[in-house]
Amino acid sequence: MESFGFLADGFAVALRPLNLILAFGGVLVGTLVGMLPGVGPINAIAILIPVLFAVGIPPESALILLAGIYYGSQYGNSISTILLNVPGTTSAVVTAIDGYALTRKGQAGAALATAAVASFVGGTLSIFGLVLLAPALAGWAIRFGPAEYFALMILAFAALSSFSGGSLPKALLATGFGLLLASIGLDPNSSIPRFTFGELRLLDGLDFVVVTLGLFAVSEVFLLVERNRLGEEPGGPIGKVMISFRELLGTGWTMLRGSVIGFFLGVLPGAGGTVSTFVAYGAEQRVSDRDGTFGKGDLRGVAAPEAASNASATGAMIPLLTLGVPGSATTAVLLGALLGLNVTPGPLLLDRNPEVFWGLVASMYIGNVFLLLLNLPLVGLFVKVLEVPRWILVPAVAGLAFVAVYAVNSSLFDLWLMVGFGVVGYIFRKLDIPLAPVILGLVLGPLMERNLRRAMALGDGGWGILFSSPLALAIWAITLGVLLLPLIDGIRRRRSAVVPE
Amino acid sequence: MKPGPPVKRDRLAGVTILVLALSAGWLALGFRVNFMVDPVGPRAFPLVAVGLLLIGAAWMMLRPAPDSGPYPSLHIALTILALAAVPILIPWLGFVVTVGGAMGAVALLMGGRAVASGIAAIAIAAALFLVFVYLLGVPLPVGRLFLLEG
Repeated sequence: MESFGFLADGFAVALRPLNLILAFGGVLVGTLVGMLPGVGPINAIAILIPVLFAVGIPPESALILLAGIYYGSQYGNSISTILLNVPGTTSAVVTAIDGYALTRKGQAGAALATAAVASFVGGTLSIFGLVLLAPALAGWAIRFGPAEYFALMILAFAALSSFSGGSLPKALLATGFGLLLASIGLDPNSSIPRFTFGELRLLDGLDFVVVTLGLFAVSEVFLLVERNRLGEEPGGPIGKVMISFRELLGTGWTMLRGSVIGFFLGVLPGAGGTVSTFVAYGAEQRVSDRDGTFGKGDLRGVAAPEAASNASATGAMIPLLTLGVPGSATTAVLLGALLGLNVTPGPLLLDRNPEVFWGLVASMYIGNVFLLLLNLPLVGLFVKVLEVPRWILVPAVAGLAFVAVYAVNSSLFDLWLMVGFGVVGYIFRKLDIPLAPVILGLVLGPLMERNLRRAMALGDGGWGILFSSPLALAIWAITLGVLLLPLIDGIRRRRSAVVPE
Repeated sequence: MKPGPPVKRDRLAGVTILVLALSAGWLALGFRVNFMVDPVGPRAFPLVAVGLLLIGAAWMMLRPAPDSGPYPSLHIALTILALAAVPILIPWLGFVVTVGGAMGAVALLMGGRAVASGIAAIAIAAALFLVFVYLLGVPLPVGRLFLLEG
């Protein structure tokens, strides 16, 4: 396998002192932001992007840091979920069921240790899958033309909208909003200004850091102020972080199954974290819940979703790096960061920037070891961070967002935009309109439009070109299936239960 | 059934988004180029985006979901004001003082006590200054009020 030769080169990159420090810093920051309410990996990455641009570090080092935050946050998230029953993201909702039940039984330590080991198993096994699958997928995707790319991006939107579990029309609305935001500025083909209202500062389009921090960080500040007023302050006792080797061994097969499920669902654009944890938990319950202990504090109920969520985070790197098509808000922000660093993800990435791809892969092995070492003995220290009062944490998040946005262009106009998008994000959240499609639309919009126009130019202006190759047709068919899935599901549910009005 | 407000949130938002999307669509119709040069043109893509917005807005008007969660309070309005004051006041007070002040206000709104919030605001302002000057090397707007003295 030549992949393993490249992997050795990757380790040479990842073991450079700077990259080791960044991998460590990334998983440390990731654990903290995954744990704390109101921060999360999206905001942490968006805040760091202008910092990285300003410092000017090489792209592989930047990616090692940002990816470390991404997969580290998956673990950090499980800490607050298990101890406080506050899942920071929807992907941790399932972990809360058995994780918090264990905390109430006084076994929080065992649950945390299981989560740490499961994350490690899921993370490292899926990197193995990444090494095997990514080069193959890249070799295959090299034949993709603009029509296939366009169809693939539509698939990413369809999957994200359909699997989010919310209302499909609202997800479509969010997608439309993101695409509309993406079209603001000078049209690259015709040099016609679009939606700039004569404002020169809009000619370059919206900076995605500004929009992301507004929609996610600032709106989160509003929500936290609101919740604080209502007195929603969770709390719970913390036991000793210990687990017997035999207990851990008992969850071995669970972790393996969770990792495999998580990895393959993570590779699918749009499915990602949330779906994989639900599927892994459900599958594990069916396979091994003989005594009906699931839901009442079973370690396997923590191991399955935690292995799956970390494996899916690694799996999600595959479409991002080899196709250049992210499937979630976090990977969309990573794509934005890479484009800003002049690295174009896609099938050519492995040839053109092997140090970026293989350096990242190797650093993920190292980062996962760091995570395990950090979390088994030191989880008690992390838990202390949860005691930082909210009235310090929330203004600090807002302050960091102001700094990051101001650092992008030194523009007060950007600060206005960020606060404005914060209000929009708050309204969207109150209406249950998902924010992830907005970010995906903003980042993918220009790529999508470029591919559409290129395809149409190749096809002499006819729409037929979009459906002319068997590959494109196959992608369209999958897209249709993905969109019809919730509709069919909804009809079935309506038949089985008559809803009283 | 509790007597809800006269108009559901979804319906109100649906109407608003519909109007905004239609205006965006009307603007997009004005993006024209010679068809021979570019078969898709600069307006096709925005029009698709507007179409998606219209589908969502129409759905929210016709099939509104029941309102969930609390209604926006005075505290939200005050928080928005505190953050919106930042870009307004920076030209006068400079970046560090303005952001520090706004963060102090947010700390108070989060239920921090006055003295503690003040200390937090000063600490945040100091941290911002360090991040800007030493980590990012971004020059900070100082503010006219302070420039007059020096």
